[in-house]
Amino acid sequence: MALSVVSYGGVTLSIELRCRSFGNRKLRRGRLEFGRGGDWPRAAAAKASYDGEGGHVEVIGVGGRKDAVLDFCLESPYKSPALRLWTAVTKESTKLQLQRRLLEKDFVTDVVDPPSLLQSSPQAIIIVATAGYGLDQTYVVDFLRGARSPCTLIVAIILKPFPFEGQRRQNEVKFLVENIREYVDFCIDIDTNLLLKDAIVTLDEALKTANNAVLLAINAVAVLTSSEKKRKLFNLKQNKMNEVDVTDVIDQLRKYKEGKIGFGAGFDVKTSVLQALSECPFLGLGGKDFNSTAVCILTIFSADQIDVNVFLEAFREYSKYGGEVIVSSLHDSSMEAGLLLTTIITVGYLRENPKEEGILSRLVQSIPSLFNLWGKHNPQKSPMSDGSSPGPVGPMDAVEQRGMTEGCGSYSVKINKAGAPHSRVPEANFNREFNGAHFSSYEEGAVEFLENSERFGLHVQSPEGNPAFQREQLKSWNYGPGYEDAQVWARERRSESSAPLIASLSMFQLPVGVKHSGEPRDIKHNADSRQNGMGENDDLVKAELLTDKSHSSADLGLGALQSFYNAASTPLEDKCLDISKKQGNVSARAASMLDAERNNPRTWNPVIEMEYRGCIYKGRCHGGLPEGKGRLVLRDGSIYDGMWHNGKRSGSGTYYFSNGDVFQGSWRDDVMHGKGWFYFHTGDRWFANFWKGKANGEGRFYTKSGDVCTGDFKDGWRQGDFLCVGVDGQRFLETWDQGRLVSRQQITPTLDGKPE
Amino acid sequence: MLTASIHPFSPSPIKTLTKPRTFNVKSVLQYTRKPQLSGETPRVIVITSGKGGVGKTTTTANVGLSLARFGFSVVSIDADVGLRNLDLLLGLENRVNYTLVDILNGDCLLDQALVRDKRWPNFQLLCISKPRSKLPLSFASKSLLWLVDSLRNKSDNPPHFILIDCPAGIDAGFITAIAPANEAVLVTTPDITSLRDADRVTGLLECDGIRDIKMIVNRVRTDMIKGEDMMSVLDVQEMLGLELLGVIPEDAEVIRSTNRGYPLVLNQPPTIAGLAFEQAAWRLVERDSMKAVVVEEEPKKRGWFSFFGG
Repeated sequence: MALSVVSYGGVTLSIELRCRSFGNRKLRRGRLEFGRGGDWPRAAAAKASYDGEGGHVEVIGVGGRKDAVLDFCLESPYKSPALRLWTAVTKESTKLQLQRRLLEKDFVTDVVDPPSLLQSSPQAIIIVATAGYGLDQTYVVDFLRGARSPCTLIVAIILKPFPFEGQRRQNEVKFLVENIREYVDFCIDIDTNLLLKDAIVTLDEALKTANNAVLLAINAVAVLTSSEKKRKLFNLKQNKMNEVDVTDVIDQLRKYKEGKIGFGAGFDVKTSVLQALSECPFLGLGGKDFNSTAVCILTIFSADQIDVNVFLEAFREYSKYGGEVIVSSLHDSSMEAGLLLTTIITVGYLRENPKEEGILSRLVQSIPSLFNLWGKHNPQKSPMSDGSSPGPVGPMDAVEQRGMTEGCGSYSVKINKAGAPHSRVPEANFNREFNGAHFSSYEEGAVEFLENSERFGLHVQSPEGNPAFQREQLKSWNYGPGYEDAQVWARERRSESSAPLIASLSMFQLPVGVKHSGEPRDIKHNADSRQNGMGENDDLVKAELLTDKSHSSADLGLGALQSFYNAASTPLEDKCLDISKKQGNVSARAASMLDAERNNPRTWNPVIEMEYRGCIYKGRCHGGLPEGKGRLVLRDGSIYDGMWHNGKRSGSGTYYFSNGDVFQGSWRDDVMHGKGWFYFHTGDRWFANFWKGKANGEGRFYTKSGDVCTGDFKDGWRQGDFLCVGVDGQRFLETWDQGRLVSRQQITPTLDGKPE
Repeated sequence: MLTASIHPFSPSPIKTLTKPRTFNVKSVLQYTRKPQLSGETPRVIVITSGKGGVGKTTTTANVGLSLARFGFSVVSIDADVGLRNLDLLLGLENRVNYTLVDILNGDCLLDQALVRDKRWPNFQLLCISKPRSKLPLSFASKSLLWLVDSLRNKSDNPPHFILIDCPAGIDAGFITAIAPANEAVLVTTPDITSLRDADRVTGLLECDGIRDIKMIVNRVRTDMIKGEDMMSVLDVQEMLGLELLGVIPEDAEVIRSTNRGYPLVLNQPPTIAGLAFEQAAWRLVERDSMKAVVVEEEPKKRGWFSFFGG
């Protein structure tokens, strides 16, 4: 009690004393509190069963992202109940304190000193380290130094910072890893950078995947070290199996010091295992080089009892791994029925094979379906798996293949279903579902998907279809809300383009600015035609706009993406960047300064030929978008030749309509804007002032025969008085109202020159 | 109108000039040969930088004296009209009686205005004006052109090298100074500020028709380059795209010699910066250039450095 007032000078000492003497009691803001029975009542209620056994897994978060990561773990339904989450706090004192994190927000958080944590003799201590440690790191090292004990496994999960977070953070992590290595039994590296290798993954998704990895790693450690769980050690080579206990596992882990994690979820064994092996980038092996690992630790979470052997077979089949496997499974009734979570921790590498790994993992990351196929078909070739594996692992029969792809199918269907236009790539969706634990929406998803596909007649593949195709679609799913429209649009266009081209499909129709009484609103120069998008060229324009809105290369597949990146990377091959690579900031800064200073002869962007908006563009590009002079040849044969800006027609340019008309004038934002001449294929000419694609203001129309009409246009329509002079000298005064002729009278000049 | 009586000295050539030139190399490094003079004499070289304080005047003094020690006859012109300092560096400040202004005014002859270094008689200094005197309005690039022309056409002992110490900045003084030059030595430090000015000056020199621009990187600190706190010479060279005449390490001796009025290259024992200047002068004579190399990277140190800069 006397210690409740902490003197300035003796902070460290007095707190330590207190901890020694009061053990597990709670410290809150430097004040001791009693009356809670020495434990955390609410938390204890949540995990009464584990408290009885006395084994805890203490998870301590340090670094900038600790709160986010731990909250994620807290909120996840898959959190192992043995976990106690702490964040390192160094706020008030110079001593590390741990703050309990609980789900209930209003619950007053507990703050304890690390030593008291150790007194409860946790089964494992997990340090979740993220970048930005600040002062934490030194204290953590101190804490770990004291925490070593033979029966407690100390695991560090290192969440590496993204490369863009800066060198300092990377160094901090490096520094921490170096420092804690000797105090930590086992270290799981999660290289978040690998997540972003796939360009389609957003940062948010990457973070979620990383968080999932952390959570599952924590869970796996909890299961591995829990006292009553059964762990089995298999030696796949010798097909032997024996049970191991905690100390053996810990010994194994201590021996190898380092591991990587992969995880997957699915409703059948194969999907789950395959996902863990191939889709999770952290494993970094691409599923190929499993034999270089010393020990694989397979942790399976599922609601119902499953046969570990099935899992093992699947694992062996897909990973081709022939070493030792430690398998432990956890049956958690709170989980979704039928859902299987697989966590694979590979421990220790006997040899490195960087080249193969690089290519393969990249391959796997970019085209996982290919890997799926590979993984599926390879076992057929390998005689060993044929011989040794009973049942489903033998030569693949059609049924199994069906089942397998169904797994994938339902998985991707879910993505489609998520229906929300903002759904992302599969990983993300997996994450979301995973967090929210609404896997039950699978079936509805499938139904709705089928409905959708019927309605649109678009996604003709059934869920059982070729997984490669599915994957392709999923990838493009990322391209934003406009993409779907663009697809629908492109489809409509495609069907229309099969119809023969007729002259009336040109953008402007003769006589210009005149509404035909018989024709409804789908005339080309109808004011709304752009919005309605009826005509071929307008369609095109709109399709272009739409695709442009979503992503210039959204619908163009891999080729366009490649050209996009090629173009984007060209300016990178600059001297200044070479220099920056070679040396630090100083030179780069100087080089960029000089580049900005020098008024060099303008450096032209390279002329490249690429696919743009589904058409062929040849010209200068900047950042993957047309910039400068260039020529776009549209699918229907129309050509735009002129200036581009930001991927849009801008500046002076000439548009050659496929029907033979030519517009030569100025453009802005992809539409005619400014003065321009229109040359119709009939030989008529039209000079008009355009405003956002429509003729506005004074315009003159010259027919081939020599008649001249002059007057005002408004929104593309003739509006107001028009003076028409025929080639024979006859003059008419016409009055128009929005393209409709109101009156027309001939002007006969009188002798004094005045009209009647 | 003007008679000889106005001139304080007799117009007859000074005796020492008539002495046959000695071509003994008396440089710090006792080279076994004399640098091969390339190009037609006199070579008019402007030493410029744009930015002030990077060592133009020091370079002029040291390169000039080195050239003289190689056996060439050198005239350095301090074209820094308002703020001349070259005389101080050379320790000749008390001997500047006449300047170019006096010559133009007809107060003296050219030879009288040339201040001869007593140590190296084939080194001569010419100042444009007295420090406190008002700038003549008429002073323009023409006058330097005339001066150089008359130096070139000197009947006796035309100089091999005319070094023009250019003032800082790129205004009238700079234009004046570079006007007569055929080649330029650009002094820069591996600082970003100096680099910018050097780049600008390079453009101006090229506009003026001076194609032969070489660069001296001054005040280089290898320790800072290794710590990546300073641009390496290679970087500087790549960025400016100029031929490298010399790399002068930062040396405290420079300040000492400046303050003593005793140029660095004359120091005995030789200083590292002095040697570098001498080598630069050698290359200047031979129109040679040096190659910058990357400082070989040491294996990463563990500990403090890897924590911060690794």
